[in-house]
Parts: sequence; C-alpha cells; structure tokens
Amino acid sequence: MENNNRIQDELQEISSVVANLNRRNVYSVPSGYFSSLPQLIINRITEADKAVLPFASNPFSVPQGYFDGLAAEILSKVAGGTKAESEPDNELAEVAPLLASLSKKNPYTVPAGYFNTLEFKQLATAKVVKMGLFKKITRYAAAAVITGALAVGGFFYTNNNTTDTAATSGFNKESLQQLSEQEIIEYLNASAVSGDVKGGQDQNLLHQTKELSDEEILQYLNENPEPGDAFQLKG
Amino acid sequence: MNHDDKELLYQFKQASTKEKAFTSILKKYQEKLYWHIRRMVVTHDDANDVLQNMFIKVWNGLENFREDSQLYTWLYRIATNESLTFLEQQKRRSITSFDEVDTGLSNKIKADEGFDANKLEWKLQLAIQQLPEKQRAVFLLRYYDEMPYEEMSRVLETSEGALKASYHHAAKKIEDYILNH
Repeated sequence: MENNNRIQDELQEISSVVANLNRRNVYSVPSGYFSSLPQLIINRITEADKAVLPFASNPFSVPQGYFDGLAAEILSKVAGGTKAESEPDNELAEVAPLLASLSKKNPYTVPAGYFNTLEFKQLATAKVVKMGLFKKITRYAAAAVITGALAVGGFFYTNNNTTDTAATSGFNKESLQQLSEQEIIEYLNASAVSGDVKGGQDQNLLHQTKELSDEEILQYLNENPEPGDAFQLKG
Repeated sequence: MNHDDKELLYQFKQASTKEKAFTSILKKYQEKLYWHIRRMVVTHDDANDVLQNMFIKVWNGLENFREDSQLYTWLYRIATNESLTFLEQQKRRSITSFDEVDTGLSNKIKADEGFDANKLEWKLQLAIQQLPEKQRAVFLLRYYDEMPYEEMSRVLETSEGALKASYHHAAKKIEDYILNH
C-alpha cells in the first residue's frame, strides 16, 4: 500500500492529468480463457516432449510413398518447375517480404546465337603477361641504375679529388717546363734545408743531395721523370 | 524470494511434481503476465501467442533459474522480451516504416469492439501506443503493475536512473497526447 501511494505521488508530481486518469481495464478476454490456459500450455509442452523421447529403433517417420516420388520432385524443382524453398529464401522472406515475392527472372537479353559464335580461339591465344616477370625486371633495372649512379658518382668524386690536388698544390707541368735549371736547383736546396720536401725525406737524404753536383742532379731528374712528365730539364 | 515461490521451484525440480508445480506457477502469474503482454501488443490473439510461447520458454528454462531475483521478476523479463521480439518481428514483416506499425497498433485499438474515442481510458491506450517500445514497457510496469524501480531494472536490464527518466518522459508524452486529442 505504501508503495502504491508513493507511485501515485510520483505520478502526481510528473503529471496530474495522467495521475487522475481512470485505470479501468478497457480490453476484454474470451470467456473461460484463463481457466483453460494452463492445460493448453501443458498439452503443447507434452506434445513437444513426446517428439524428443528416445526410442530403441528409428523414432522418425516419413509420409507414405515419400521416397517413391522424391527423385521426380527434385528434378522438377531443378528444372524450375516449382520454386524450391531454400534457407536463403526463407531468410529473405523474413527480412524483406516484398523483395522475396519478386520474380528472379533475368530481364537482360543477348543476341541470338551469341554463346555459339563466341570466339574462344582468340581468348586462348591471347598473350598472357605475367605481372610477376615485369616486377622482377623492374627490380633488377632499379638495382642496376642505383649501382651505376654510385659508380659514376664515385668516379667523378675521385677524379675531382685528383684534379683538385693537382690544382691546389700549385704543381703545374706547364710551369715546370718554363723553369730554368738554376731555379730548380735553388728550389731543391731550399726544400732540403727546410725539410719541406715532397714525401718528407729524412736528413740523411738531404745531406746526400747537398754533396751532388748540378750535372748529377740533372742526370738523375732526366733518368727518373715524374709519371706523365713530358719535359726534359734544359741543361 | 517468497516462500511459496521457493516451494514451487523445488517441486518443479522434482520429476514427480514438475507438471503440478508448473501448473501452479501458471495459475498464479498468468493474468498479470497476460495483461502486461496485452497492453504491449494490443490484440488478444497476439497476446495469447506471446503468452504461450513465453510459458514454454519458462518450462524449458525454469530448472536453470538461479534464484538471484524474484520468480515474478524473471517471468516479467521473459514476457517483456517476448513482447518486444514480437513487435520487432511485426516491424520487419511490415513493408512500411515503423511509424506506420505504430499506426497499425492504434488501428487495432480502434478496432476493439468496446472502443470509445470519447473515453479517457481509451485515449490513454492510444497514447501509450505512441511511446517507443521500451519506454512503453517502463510505463506499463510502473503505472499498471506498480513495479519498484529496483525490480524493473532487473526486468529491463537498465539502470534505475534511466528508468526514472524514461517513466517521467513517458508520462509527459501521454499527458500531451491526451490534452491535444
């Protein structure tokens, strides 16, 4: 009772209109419905239980003559005589009855004799290019390009270094050709004294160079030219 | 769980008294459950189908009932779910929109032999059919069955707060309908 009052008070707060409505039941029920309902349900349950009770032999039965006509019935359905009820059909009927009721007849047409005259020969001799081969070639070509680029780059790099060395050191073949014998001797003497000789010669070699005559030095230089030198010191 | 229901459950689990216990449960709850279903689906024939299917499920599932709620809560849950499933199937079978399914339920009310458009209690039924299905169930359980929110949350598997809000909105919608029709 307390709960009823609370619910009534709650509704009164929300809507006095609804709270004051008559709750009289407007619907009617067939006479004797509730008295017969329990037995009705028990009967349904009992029938369902009977269907699953175990039997010693095969519990299932089939209509008389079922197998005699089965082959013919299936063949007629395959030929399109009767619309066979399949699981997809049942599912569609449940989800979209309108679509399920539509005919599956093909609306499109093809020219007469199309499939008979189709040129399968052409299709059989068509060149088939494997996508795999193309991919392989592309990969090898890419590798070759990269290798080539590295090689060329390396070549130019080293070449530039050699050229630069030559350019920055001031060692020029043409300028050497213009040098006189006296100038070369003076240069060698100065280098020997300062120790600033190409390759860093030791003191012993410097000393030996001092004891050599000019003719001996010239002879040495002519007998042992630098690689690529095409000049001869003028005597 | 009240003593009577506990006793009935015990008897149901014994093979010798199973059918007798089930019949007792049927007789005890059939009317309450019928009217709850009837107000959801409107016609007697539909309510009868839903009710019978519901009790067959009870027969099959009662042995595994965990008794973590009242028996009647469990029964109401099955009845509500069966009603909602039935309405959902009707919606799918209908080739029109759900709004027109609601109109169909309203038409069924108007087709009832006792229908009187001038009477507020009939207007109330029409107003109830305008509610979304789950909100309809909330209103019916609270308004007619006077179910506490705690029990209702077990029936509908929704929080008490959400149920209170839903009931509030339902009552307001019904008020609007009655005042404007």
